[in-house]
Amino acid sequence: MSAVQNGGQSAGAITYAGGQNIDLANVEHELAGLWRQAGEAAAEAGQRSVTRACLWNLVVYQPPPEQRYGRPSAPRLLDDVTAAVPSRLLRLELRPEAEAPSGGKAVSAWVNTKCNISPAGGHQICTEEIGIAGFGRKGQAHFPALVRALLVPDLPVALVWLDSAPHKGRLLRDLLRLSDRILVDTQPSAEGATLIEVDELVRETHAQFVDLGWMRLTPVRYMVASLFDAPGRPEQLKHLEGIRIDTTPSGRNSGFLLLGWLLSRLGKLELSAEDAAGREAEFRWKIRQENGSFPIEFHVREGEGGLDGLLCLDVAAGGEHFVLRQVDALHVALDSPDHGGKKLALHGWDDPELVVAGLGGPGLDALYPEALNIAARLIGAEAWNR
Amino acid sequence: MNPLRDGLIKERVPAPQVMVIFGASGDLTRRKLLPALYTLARERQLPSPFSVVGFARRPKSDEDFRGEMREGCDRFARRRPVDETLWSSFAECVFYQQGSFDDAAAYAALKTRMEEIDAKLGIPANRLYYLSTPPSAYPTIIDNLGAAGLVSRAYEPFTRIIVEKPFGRDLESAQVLNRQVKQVFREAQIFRIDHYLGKETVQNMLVFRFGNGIFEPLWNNRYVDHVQITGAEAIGVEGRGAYYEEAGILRDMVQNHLFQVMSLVGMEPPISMDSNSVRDEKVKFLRSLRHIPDGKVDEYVVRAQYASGHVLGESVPGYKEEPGVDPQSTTETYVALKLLVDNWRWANVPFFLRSSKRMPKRVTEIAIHFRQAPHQLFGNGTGKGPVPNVLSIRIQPNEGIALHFGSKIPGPTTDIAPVNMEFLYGTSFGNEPPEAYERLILDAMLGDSTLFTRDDEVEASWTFITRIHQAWAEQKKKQIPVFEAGSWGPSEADELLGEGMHWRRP
Repeated sequence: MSAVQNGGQSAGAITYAGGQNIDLANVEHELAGLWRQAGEAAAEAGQRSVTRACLWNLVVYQPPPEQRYGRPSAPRLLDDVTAAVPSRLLRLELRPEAEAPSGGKAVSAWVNTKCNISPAGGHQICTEEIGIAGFGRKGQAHFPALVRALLVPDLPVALVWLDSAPHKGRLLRDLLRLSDRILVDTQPSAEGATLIEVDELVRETHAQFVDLGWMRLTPVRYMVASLFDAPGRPEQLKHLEGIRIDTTPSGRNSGFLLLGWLLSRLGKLELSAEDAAGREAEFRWKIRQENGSFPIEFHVREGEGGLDGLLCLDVAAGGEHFVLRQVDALHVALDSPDHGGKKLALHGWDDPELVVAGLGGPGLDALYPEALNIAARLIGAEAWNR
Repeated sequence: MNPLRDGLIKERVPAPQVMVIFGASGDLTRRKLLPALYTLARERQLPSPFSVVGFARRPKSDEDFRGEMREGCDRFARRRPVDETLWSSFAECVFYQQGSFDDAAAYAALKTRMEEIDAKLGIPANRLYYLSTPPSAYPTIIDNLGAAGLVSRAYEPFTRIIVEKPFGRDLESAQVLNRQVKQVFREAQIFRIDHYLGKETVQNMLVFRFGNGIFEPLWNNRYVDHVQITGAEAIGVEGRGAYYEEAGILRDMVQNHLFQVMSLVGMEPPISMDSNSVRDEKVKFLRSLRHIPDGKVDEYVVRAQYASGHVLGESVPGYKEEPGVDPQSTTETYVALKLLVDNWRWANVPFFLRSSKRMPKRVTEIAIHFRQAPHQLFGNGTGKGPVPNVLSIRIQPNEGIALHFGSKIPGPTTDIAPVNMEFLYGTSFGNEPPEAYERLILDAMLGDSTLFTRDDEVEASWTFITRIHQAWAEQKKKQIPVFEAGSWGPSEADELLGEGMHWRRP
């Protein structure tokens, strides 16, 4: 075992690395050894005691590199998260069968603890990580049983599935059965099918879904809502004349979720798809509202996508336009009869902050399933009635 | 109703506003208020747009003020080091306005300055005033604010005022001050701050009692033997001898902080968590405190002064040797009280409170002492029998909760040893709780007065405390007991507790 200063993002963090390829039956014993080592190191350095803290079991799935989104992987992101939300990290890494160690074992494990010096000085707050590599399908099959064995009792379990789109496979279903909450991110997925699959999962499982893609939309939803706060404006939403939304390619799923949310708030609607299925860059639908029909246009184009890839939302209602548009990476403008191009700063959250927020609070946002379901139906060009 | 607002989680982000700190040259602004505002900015909890204006007598430029506040944030902000990018945008909204509290022209200038800020930043004339001045200046500032047209009693745009403690020095002065403030502000606009209520553990008292099913059934005279609340400080009067001579610890700590804590321990469950429901219950509890019978104050209250001694490795002078203190002073720096509560829940359960300067360490805690098991099966006569169960709630430092109970010592006998089951904020949540001022300023910005003291609460606590002061005044004692600095207080305080009981060593 060795203690290494973490060269990562949080200054003052110390990682105590345990053995590689440890016996799976001895994981807890290895961890106990690391705790002793951390305690002794703190005592030698004249620091106060090492404190083991744990609020969550975080089960982190890491798919093979070719399946991952092109961004820092979840375990790196969680280094920052666990400094704020102490947790036991169970990292499940799926590797090719060819990389299996000699001896034919389908899984191998390692442990380490990471200690952050409390900002108030003195003691170290430590979290522990158990890594499990599964080699090929056989290795993957071990994951659920190992997770069951290694969870800290009586603490909630969050499945962190942020490195790839959550495809409905056996592994995901098995892990979901063990989980109270699942964190996914639908935004980086270029496939609209991702929203369709997540929609099915949300309806099939008891775990609370926290979609970082949806959370990123929170400030946008508040701004869109503010376009209709003035007296008489809500009434205009009953007389919609059209909705147009423009996104970058990476903001497509955000655009669908935003549209799903907007439509979910408008009462009784009936949708017929027009020229939507199978298209990549342009979609059209027709919505029947109580007071008539209106078109929706969805355009995907290049642009600077600081607003989670959303470039513009234009709602035409009651003879007027209510527009939210991106000005630059840090600002948006609200154009409406009441706002007159008011420029607002965007206060986006970075991914570790989103994950911390996703682990706090009640979990599932009640609006999400509705918005997601409509988004999925729009993508599937499925006519509906609600 | 805007259907797009439906289901959006209600944001705890306040409306755009200008905050004015009166007495901005003081230590509180530099050490607590601006660091709290900076931390709120860093955690994206400040309104946008927002501005803070420091108002004080000393001539100073905006830049000078920003420099002083930056230094304060560098030293005292919870989130350090200070983020340069964030600070530069935050500092752009920090201003300084020079003026005397009694100069009407200064308020007119302040008004103009705020209107300029409103116009520049797009703030809809919402105002939050913070009185961080000596209490003697409160009436002058409040009157001038009213006369200058700087207070609107309307709901929108809003005007609110935060008033620092002490709120009065006895019942009569508190009533007078309440009347003065309410001539200009509505009660709902007044936020009487007691920073103890901003502490995480104090707020957790409500969650602990009413959010868990297992504690409240034990929280009554059937299971609780007595309650001890300690507010101890290791420091002395720190150069404020003249102020302390006028105040004393009963005014400085007990009337506000300890009574607030005690009322949260003793109150009945509120019907909801809205500000008035919670405060209604606190007032009910304070009103059920049994008044000390005439001529018996010494049976219920012990007062004392610290003499010289040793605290945390330093030799310290006695109170009467402190600068600004009358050598014949009978002002108490230590007080212990035995309080009885005339209601069904707490009948015959004494609440013991003590507070002092120059104790061995700084600690504030509540200890609920439970009754012993009705029949003793273990350790008869050996001294290794059952220990009392104590639930201790630590408010500062090392915020947390511990349950003290007896456990069998491993081995062939049934000897019992005391053990602790402990929860610490730092351990469980991995980070330090926010500063009290962050929470309280944010709540005032939001208009949530749950953690602030209402007029009737202030008057209920002063009603009780003033009777003690009156009784002491009638005694005309030439001297009061002393205790060695660095000890846990005078032996007279032990006699308050009664047979077989003792003060906890927190």
